Amino acid sequence: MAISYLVAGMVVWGGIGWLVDQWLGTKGIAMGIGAVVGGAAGVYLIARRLGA
Amino acid sequence: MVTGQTTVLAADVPFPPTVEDFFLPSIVPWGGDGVWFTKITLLLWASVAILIIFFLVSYRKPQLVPGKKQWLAESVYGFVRNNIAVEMIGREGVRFAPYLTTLFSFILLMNLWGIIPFAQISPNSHIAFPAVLAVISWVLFIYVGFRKHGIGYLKVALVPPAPWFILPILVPIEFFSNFIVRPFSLAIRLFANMFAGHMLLLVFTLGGFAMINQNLWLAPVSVLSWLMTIALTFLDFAIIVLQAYIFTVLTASYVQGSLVEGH
Repeated sequence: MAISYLVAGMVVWGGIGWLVDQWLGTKGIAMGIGAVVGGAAGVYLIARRLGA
Repeated sequence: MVTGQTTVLAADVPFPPTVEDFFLPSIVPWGGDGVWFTKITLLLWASVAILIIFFLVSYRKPQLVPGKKQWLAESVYGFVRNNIAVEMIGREGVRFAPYLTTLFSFILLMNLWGIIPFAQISPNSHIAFPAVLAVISWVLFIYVGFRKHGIGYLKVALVPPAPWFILPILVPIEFFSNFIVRPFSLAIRLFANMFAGHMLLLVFTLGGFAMINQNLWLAPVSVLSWLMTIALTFLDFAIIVLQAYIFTVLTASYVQGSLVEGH
């Protein structure tokens, strides 16, 4: 459950970042930012949903 | 008729085993190519028949002091009802106990074929079977959610308790994690465990023959390899029970997630 959030966060926002990369022609910058943001959001979600 | 693989222990043992070893030949003499009635089909039908007959017979004339069959059936049902359904979902979980018991005993029996002599392959090592079971669980928890909350289920499932400005980041993650990843992870977990279990046993069994055929001096290593097969069969048994349990527990947990009160 927790791991699923973490992976989902990085995959979803990394994937959206990848699409942005394709669109703007940047090479992986948006994907990197997306994966980091997604990972952070995943950690936050775990804390909110499964924590207190 | 089901001893096809185990009797082919002659000189040229195919090694290493491949995915092709999971696609068994037809076991009916008629029909020629493309016949779908394989050992897998037989085991599936046998599983369904065994479960139906077992539970019907066990509960036909229930006694106050249960006999052996009734005791076993009641133990399985009691275990799933109390330790999975009620434990995970709460009092409402009793409603789901019949389905969860069916799911648990079906997966358990389907998995067990992997170590039952002469069957020795679990239908669940073909992803089609776990995939269908996962889709049923998926439809179940979504249906239960909409039934309970109406359209508000989307809010329960997708909107976590968080400040509004982070929600645009969180909602896509919730959607992906709850509605897309879940059926895949259910199906792949069960399939991969059963596939790997069968593959391991094949590697150690056939490997023993491959070595002894290569050089007679390797015979002790071959024997070691076969002893490993026996040890791994016990390991596989543990995994078989565990995976049936996990699949059922996760299904119950998803249903529980659909039933929680809104925030």
